[in-house]
Amino acid sequence: MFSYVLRRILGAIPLIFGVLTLTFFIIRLAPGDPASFFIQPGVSPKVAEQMREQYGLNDPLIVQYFKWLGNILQGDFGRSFSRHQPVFDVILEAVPITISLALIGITMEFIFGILLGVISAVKQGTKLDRTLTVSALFIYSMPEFWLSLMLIIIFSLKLGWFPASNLNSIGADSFGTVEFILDRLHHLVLPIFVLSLGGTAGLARYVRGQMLEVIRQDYIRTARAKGLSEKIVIFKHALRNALLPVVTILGGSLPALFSGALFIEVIFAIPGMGRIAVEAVFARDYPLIIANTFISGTLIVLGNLLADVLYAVVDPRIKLG
Amino acid sequence: MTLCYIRVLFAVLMLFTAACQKKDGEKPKSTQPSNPLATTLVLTDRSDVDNFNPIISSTVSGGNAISMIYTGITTGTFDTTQGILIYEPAIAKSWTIAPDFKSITYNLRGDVKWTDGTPVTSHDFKFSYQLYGDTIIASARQDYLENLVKLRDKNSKPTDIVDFDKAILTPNDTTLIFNFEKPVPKHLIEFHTSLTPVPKHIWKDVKPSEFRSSELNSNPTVSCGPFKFKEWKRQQEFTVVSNPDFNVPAPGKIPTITMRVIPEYTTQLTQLKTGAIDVMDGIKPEDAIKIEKENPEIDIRIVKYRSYSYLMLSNIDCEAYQNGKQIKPHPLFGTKKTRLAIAMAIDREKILDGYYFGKYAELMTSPISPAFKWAFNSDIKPYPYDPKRAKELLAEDGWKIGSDGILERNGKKFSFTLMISKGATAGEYMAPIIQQSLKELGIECKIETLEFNVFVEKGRKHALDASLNGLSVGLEIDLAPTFGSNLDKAAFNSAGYQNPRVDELNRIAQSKLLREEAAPYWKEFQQIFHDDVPFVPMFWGSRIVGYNKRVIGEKPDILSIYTDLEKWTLSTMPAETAVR
Repeated sequence: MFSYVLRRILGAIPLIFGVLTLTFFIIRLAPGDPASFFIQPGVSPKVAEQMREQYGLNDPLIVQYFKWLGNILQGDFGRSFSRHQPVFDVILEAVPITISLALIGITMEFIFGILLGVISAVKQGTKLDRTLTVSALFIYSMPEFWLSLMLIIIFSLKLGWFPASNLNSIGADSFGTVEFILDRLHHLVLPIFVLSLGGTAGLARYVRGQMLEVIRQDYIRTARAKGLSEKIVIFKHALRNALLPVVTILGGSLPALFSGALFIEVIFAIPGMGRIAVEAVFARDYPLIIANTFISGTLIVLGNLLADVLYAVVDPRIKLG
Repeated sequence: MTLCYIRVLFAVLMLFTAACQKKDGEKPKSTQPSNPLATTLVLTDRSDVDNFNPIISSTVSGGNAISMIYTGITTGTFDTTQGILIYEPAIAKSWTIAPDFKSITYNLRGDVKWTDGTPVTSHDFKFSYQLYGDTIIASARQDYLENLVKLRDKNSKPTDIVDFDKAILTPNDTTLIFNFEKPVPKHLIEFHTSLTPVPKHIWKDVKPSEFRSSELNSNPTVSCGPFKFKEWKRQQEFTVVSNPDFNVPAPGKIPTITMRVIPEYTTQLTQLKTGAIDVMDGIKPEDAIKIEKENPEIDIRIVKYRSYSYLMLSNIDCEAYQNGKQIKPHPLFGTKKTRLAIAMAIDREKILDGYYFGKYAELMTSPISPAFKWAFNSDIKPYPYDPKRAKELLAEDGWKIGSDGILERNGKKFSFTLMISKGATAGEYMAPIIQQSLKELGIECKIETLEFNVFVEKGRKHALDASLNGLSVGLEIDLAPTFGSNLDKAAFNSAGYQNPRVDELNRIAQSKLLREEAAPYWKEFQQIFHDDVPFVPMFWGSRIVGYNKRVIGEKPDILSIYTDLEKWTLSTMPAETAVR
């Protein structure tokens, strides 16, 4: 197992490096220029030229590449063009917010996804099952930005139950710890609801499928024949086996954990990784785009590895090597 | 296990319910002294400030923040009766312009202090101007120094480098003299010498190469303004508090101001309606109309006019320009007759009524804002909507209806693509109406959308045949960037318009020492614009701003929606909290 993981990690290094190199060239070939921000009415055209010089954009592309490569090998991803900070500082500010959002979101997703999936499977073919199935499909296909705006209009504007943006109320720094946390949670209700809703619906469908497969197995019939209560049959014998493949979904969730929720962060004004990525692309902030790609690429590779390892851990029939 | 989840969930819900009940306390209507919102003005912006340094800040949000915590040598106010910027004393108590218009002498108050107690002196101004002019620091305002005395080359001719020893003199702490290379118009002298200073004693040891990365840019603990910096949570909010020691003329009356970053328009609008924010800029006309009907707690104010929209029709052949910068007339829009025909074919009144509800914009006649009354040529009337005359003009220009109903000339069909920028709601509204109007003339107009950066770059490189554009104008008139014949320098002349007389008029008008002497030249330009139709002028659009009615004293003008912010108060402020 250890040598397998090590081999996969070593194999990932050239892969990630290749992705970064591709990103480096693709973003520079895309139309738009980081210094174009300085071409505004009332601003001398020479300012844009001076900024290009400072950003090192006047060098030939290949020279820029080797300079960048030298810096990357020393672990220096450079300074953000648009935020005038080291890119890692930018990311470090955003990651805790994104992680806390994603962790709560994924927890909600798993709790409700599994619960609804089980109910749907146990009540297969009933009105409840059909309602849950249709609802899940409806929610799963609902655009996040539309849902976010609808929730803001209903719960923030009309009912006034939840705030529509930001992480805390004005003056929250003067609150006590408990009050501050409650205030933060209060602000996170709507974004987390949107964030977890689609995943919950998808997971519910997945769990339902797995459960239906498992409860047709002979050992479930045996358990029932032994006279065990239905609750024990479903939750102890069936659910445990049905959940084995679900656990591996966790691996796939890892990139989402760090890369942030693009629409949700923009709409609810949450300063996480998703918003950084969007704004970096619009500002043609090359160092920040590459750093984001590095994080996303690394996490996708690690997430896949984690999923493979979890498969082997939860299913003894699978051998890694 | 499930039971356990449900219990946890129930507990969480209970907590949320508790928080919901607390929500009532969040509404700014409350006057309880313990409620921070009662004494906090909450502003918002769609993007975060770039930094808090007047030398290098180049965003509107940064400029707004800086105007709260810094003050200048003078204060500019906009005189709406003439449409000119006038200057009033601030750190300077008086000033004199030399009779030859080659220098200005400021007498500074000696009692103004930075927030650390150090006096603000003439040396701070000179030092700041040196920073503004440093090409490594690359300030967006370095053009303000272009008229100052320059260093001489071997032949005693002025170079491009400012000779600060001669250009800015500081005979004592309260006297500041600017010397210019040649006579400069009075309004430009005052405008160009009004740059905001930074404290020399704080910044003097920061190297130019490290200037943009200095921590001081994000933590300006020493400043001099009606408010002082408290905190910046990047991408979330910044907070300033009233500066009790400020005496130019007085501290800000509102104890705390927080500026929150809310990128999404709908979210901002919701926050304005729920009272979570006090001021919102850039409200769309359709929402302004609704707010005026449904939200009595919000005041809608409009500011006229700093920005216009226009239909850019390339005067030059884009392909030829891409191919070695050859200048040839555009095969479709190369003649003014055709451009005029298009201008007369578009029913702009319909758009004015439909999109702007007839009240948030006006038909544009020229690129000089009607707000600049001293220079605006009110004799020029908008192009009339006259499709019949438009058809005649096209026929006179050689366009004939082809077998497929589309106009053609010398085998070339009148078909083009109109580009609009993604997210430009006014453009998205106008484009189909223009398309339909042109179809009735036999012109095929396809509509495509481009991402903003791509749109701007293609326009600048003269790679677009036609596009719907918007542009903001500066407070001082300068035609060179938009109408200059040197297309390499004219960053906003995407139509590729070239007219030597316009270049000349710009030069003459800018050299006049008094505005009244310059006005005839600006008016002549507007007549030429009307005759040449370099592009189809659409609208001067109002800036629509919403203020919660608890805000008292707001007076948005062409300079800012936060004009006189230090004098604002909140009706929710208990009397004893107002800073006097």
